[in-house]
Amino acid sequence: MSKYAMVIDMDRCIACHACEVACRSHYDVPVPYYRNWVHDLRPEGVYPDIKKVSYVGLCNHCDDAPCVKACPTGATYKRKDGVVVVDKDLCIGCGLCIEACPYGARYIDPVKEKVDKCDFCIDRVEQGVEPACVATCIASARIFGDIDDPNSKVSQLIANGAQPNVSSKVNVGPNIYYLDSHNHFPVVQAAFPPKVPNMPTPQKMWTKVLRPLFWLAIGGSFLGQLAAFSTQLFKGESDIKE
Amino acid sequence: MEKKISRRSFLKISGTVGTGAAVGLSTSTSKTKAAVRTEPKRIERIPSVCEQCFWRCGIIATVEDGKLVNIEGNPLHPNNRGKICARGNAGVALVYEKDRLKGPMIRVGERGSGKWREVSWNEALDYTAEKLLAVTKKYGVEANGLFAHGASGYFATDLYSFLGSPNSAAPSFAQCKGSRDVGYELTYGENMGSPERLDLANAKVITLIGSALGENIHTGQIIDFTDGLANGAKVIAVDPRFSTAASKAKWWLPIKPGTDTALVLAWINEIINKKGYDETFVRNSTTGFSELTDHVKEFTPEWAEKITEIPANVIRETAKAMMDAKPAVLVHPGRHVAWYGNDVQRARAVAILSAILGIWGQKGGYFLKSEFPASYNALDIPAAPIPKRQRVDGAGYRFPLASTEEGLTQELVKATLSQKPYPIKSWMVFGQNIFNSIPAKRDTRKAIDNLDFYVVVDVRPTEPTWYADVILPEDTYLERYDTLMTVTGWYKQYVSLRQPVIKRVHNTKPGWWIAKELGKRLGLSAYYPYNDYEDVIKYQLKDSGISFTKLKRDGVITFPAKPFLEPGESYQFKTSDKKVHLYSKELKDLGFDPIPVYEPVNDPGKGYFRLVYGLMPVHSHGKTESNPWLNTLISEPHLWINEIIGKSMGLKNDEEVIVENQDGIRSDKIKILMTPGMRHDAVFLPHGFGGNDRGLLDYTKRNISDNNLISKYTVDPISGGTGLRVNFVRLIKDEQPLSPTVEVSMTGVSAKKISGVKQEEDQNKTFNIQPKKKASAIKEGC
Amino acid sequence: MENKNIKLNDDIVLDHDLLKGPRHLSFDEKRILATRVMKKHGVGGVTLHWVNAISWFLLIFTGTALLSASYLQFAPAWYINMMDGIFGTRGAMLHFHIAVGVFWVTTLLLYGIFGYKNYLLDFVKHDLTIDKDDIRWFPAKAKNLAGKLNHYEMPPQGTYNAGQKAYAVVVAFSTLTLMITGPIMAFHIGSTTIIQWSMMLHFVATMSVFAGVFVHVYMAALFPEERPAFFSMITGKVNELYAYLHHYKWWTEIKNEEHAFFAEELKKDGIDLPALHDCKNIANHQVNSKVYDMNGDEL
Repeated sequence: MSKYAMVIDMDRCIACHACEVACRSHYDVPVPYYRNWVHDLRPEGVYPDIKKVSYVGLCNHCDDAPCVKACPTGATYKRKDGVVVVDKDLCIGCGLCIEACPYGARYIDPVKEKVDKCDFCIDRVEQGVEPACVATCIASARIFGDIDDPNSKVSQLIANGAQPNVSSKVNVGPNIYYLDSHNHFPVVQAAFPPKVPNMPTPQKMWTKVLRPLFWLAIGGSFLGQLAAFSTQLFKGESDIKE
Repeated sequence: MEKKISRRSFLKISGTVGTGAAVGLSTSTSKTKAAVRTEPKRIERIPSVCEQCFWRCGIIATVEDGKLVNIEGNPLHPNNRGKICARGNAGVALVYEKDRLKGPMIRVGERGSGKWREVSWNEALDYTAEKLLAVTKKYGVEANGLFAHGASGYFATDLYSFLGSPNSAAPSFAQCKGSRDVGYELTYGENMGSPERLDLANAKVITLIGSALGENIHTGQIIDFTDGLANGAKVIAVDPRFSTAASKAKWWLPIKPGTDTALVLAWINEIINKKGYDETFVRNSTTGFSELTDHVKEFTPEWAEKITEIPANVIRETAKAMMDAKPAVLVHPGRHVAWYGNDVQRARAVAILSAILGIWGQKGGYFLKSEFPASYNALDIPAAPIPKRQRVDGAGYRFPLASTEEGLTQELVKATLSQKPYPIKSWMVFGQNIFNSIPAKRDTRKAIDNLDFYVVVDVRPTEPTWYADVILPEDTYLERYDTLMTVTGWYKQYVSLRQPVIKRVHNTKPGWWIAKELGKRLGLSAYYPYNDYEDVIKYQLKDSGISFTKLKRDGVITFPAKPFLEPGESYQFKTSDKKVHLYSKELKDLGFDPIPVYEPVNDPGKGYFRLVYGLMPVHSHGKTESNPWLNTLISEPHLWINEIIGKSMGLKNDEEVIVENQDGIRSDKIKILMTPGMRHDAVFLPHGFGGNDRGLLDYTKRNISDNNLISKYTVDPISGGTGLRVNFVRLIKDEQPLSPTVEVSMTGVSAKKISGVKQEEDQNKTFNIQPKKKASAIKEGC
Repeated sequence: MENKNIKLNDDIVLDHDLLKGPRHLSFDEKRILATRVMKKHGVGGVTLHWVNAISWFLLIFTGTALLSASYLQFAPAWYINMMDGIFGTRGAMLHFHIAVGVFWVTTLLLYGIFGYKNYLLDFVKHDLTIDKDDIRWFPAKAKNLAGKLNHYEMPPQGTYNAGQKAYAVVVAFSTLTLMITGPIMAFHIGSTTIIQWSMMLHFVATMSVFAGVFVHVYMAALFPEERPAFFSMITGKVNELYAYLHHYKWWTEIKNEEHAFFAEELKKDGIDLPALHDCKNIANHQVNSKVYDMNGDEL
């Protein structure tokens, strides 16, 4: 079984944004939304130690994906090969996955009214072609592959120290790794830390209060009636007596 | 609830290059549904050549039932090897951009009133020819001026030479790489060409002086550059701004703008002093080394430190890095070098530095130019007439080494403005934004008033289109044939073909057709013995051994090159004595310095900053600002200013200021970006944005163009190239000019008089992040 | 007044007595009442009930299986897996859920619009209108179930008892909520915020009904005392003894209606049916040789 992942080589990336547009072109992503992104940070530091860093991102296809947990219909699910995909047929456009995503990787297509996001170009990958962003990357800064294969380039780069964007607060097993030998990645992590999955009020009310309440109510009502019925059975039925 | 199958996702993956139609049935990989059969669509993958910038990458367009759906890089093309940049990818959006010019128009109101009527091509061309002939009749054929650029601009240039007017000019010389080419030709007898013959991938040290490498996204160079970085190349980035290249550099040298020649001279001094030059190459292949040694004697690193504000030890360290790595030292010749009006001499200094390091024809240095293995048939047409009068721009005489092929745009503007030495009464502007490329926009605008006739040929409207008497809309590069694109030399040589990938979307025409049809109406039928440009290309290739069919199918045909010298092989340079001219007798004879000297630059003065400019990686010149896919990435420029200086003026990031130059010319409000990655005495404004587009375009109409503030320029007396970095600006907020209250030294790190500086933490660290709606608000208004 | 022979049978006398207020019934009274049936639901009502019940059943079974996200999940995983297995794909299940929902909503709307008077107003009148007796019923029922209060001391009830009414109120509001929130989710109407709130309300509405459904089913189908109610949902009829004991006010209402109806009909034939209040005086009085049953048919 393969498990797909991507390594972003920050040493190579020159923030040309080609990946972003290639993705837009391949999937008709409507402006201003995006499935992958390059966020440029302004140069910071003190001469001569100045850093100009860009955050290259896309869906992290997390192992413990909060979006999957939040999707009410199961439209968002994780495939066996690790790719988190959205079954457009099932999506009801509720946006709970958008709130849950720590990386801001999801949007609702205003035309289709369904959630969309990076799917690692799985259609291409299954045909043996690299994802569109990888194919167009001029600097070869995006490396895609199977981390279950120890000989794959991604596995080797991860072994060489590529790290995912996680924090002490949020670690949901992301599968996008960042390779960096110039201490640029901490800058990205500071500016774009993974967001604690957000539950909107109605969802929170349901999950935290109403759901246990209804478990009790339904369970109670069921058990109560069961008890009454049992009593009735044991006692034998007394029809209209008196 | 029927699931819509994305056919696009299928066709993207059909891997082969080919013009033959691939008909595919899409399948669904959906979890919920088995494959659904839908009627097949005709899917074609057609190779062509990009023109979102002038690097000319090979592309493969995917066309679905006649609609362009995607563009990918052509893996066979040496320029880009299967990759393409953001702009190349966004070619799809250019074709369907709503702001395009969609049909020929003739002005009906006052010039500049923005009133046109839509006309047929016949009427538009008849009218244009009539007007050009009227000017010719009254003032002579030379009174017709042309500004042309781009691959189809050649057709216009040819038309004007057939007509007999010498007055055509392209900004690619005077506003771009002209001075570099002249400087390299003076030194080596040949220029670096385009793509520049640079072995970035194998270089151990890459020296970039004011290079936009990383922001200009010349695809092949970026591929090589990043490969070079991965191979451990150390980068020396000389730039007043912390550029993308600087962010990859081991050494960032925040040089005082305009003092680069001093730095290069000090490097040469250090290398000669430390005997770090390539003795064999200098002995065998150069002349004037002793003159050079004498010349640079006084230009020590200490001398340069005072001028460039780069510490002498850093100059020594970087010089040592170059010496140690030679010959795998890539000294980039630059591309846009129209900086200070003494750019030929700076280019020469760079060329001399590369020469003494002996990098010519060496791995990690400069590639050799090779002989192209094929020759094309020339069309059987009469020779162009020799113009009766001299060019008005002075190329070849007032500016002895200026290119007479490309001409000098700014001089053509000046001549039109003054109507001297003789009247210029008509302009054709072909595929360029003369307000954004030629400095002193005011002059350009005023010169238009002196014209009897002014015609614009372009794909999309730009600011100067507004004043046009006739607008002739051109096909996009995806809808037309252009001339064969042949690159000789480099690491590979090739010929590539730009061909239409889709049927034209609007009532537009290709450049060759416009030139041909105008030519016929101007009595030049003899020059146009064809109806279809495809036939011309077939004829050109007929005896060359290159198959047109294969070229059409693959988009490019490559040939091996000989990029490196054999060990011990000496190269016959194309100079008079076959040697590299460290000392240029040619310049001496023309009355110029035979070896470059540093010419001091002015200081901006209190409260003023030198205006430098450059590119942003997602935009090309002024060509792409309105492209919706690119505009969403960077929709407006940020003015870079030193963080300490900015804070001392009470500014905050993203705050808007008005920029005013020394001539009192003001911009509209521009957002600022404060960073330690900008020199204290200069501000940086990305090029290619804004202008008063006055209703032709539906995007920003703010006047935030850098060129608007470049009202002053100097002219290189050798090449005629313009110096554009000679303008000083100050920032205006609430109608009050701002003045920094601290002094900063970039390399000394700290600021003096720091008391006035607020040290507050800046929360908003990001910039130019596209306006992203909050996820939760996305569906509002549905 | 023409003197016709009207035999006022025992039943009428009985009815008259019983109409004075609920009381212990003698064996004879019980016997007579138990053999008589009253119409409680028309064919439309019966159909509506079962369409509603089956729809609810299908919607709850698929809906709880669709709700699979761990943050929201209600049913156990094995159940969701089982349902996935039955439907093959989640999409099929969602589409089924939506299809049943659309059918259900359409049915209710048709009933509501075309059966405005017969069904909607009737439902509002009998199921949703609560009086003092209803409020007193809850503590009384508790005592009754505890064996401390017999049937005859219970507050008299209308067509439906207060417990049934309370559930009807929940079902009514839930139905309204589901009819609105369902389409919002199925057809993406409004912003994500609206859809998110819809979802929560959808769950709450469903689960509220779900919580009561065991009581509803048990009481109607299994609990011996209320079992006639269950059969009434098939036959449309209940025996009068049950009606008298459990829905005294309704029984009274029907009796009065019946009497008024017969009085009117007999008047056409020139026969005066004595008002119920003076039936007592003519009890056992042979007026006519002809005997009519309560349906006005000649015996």
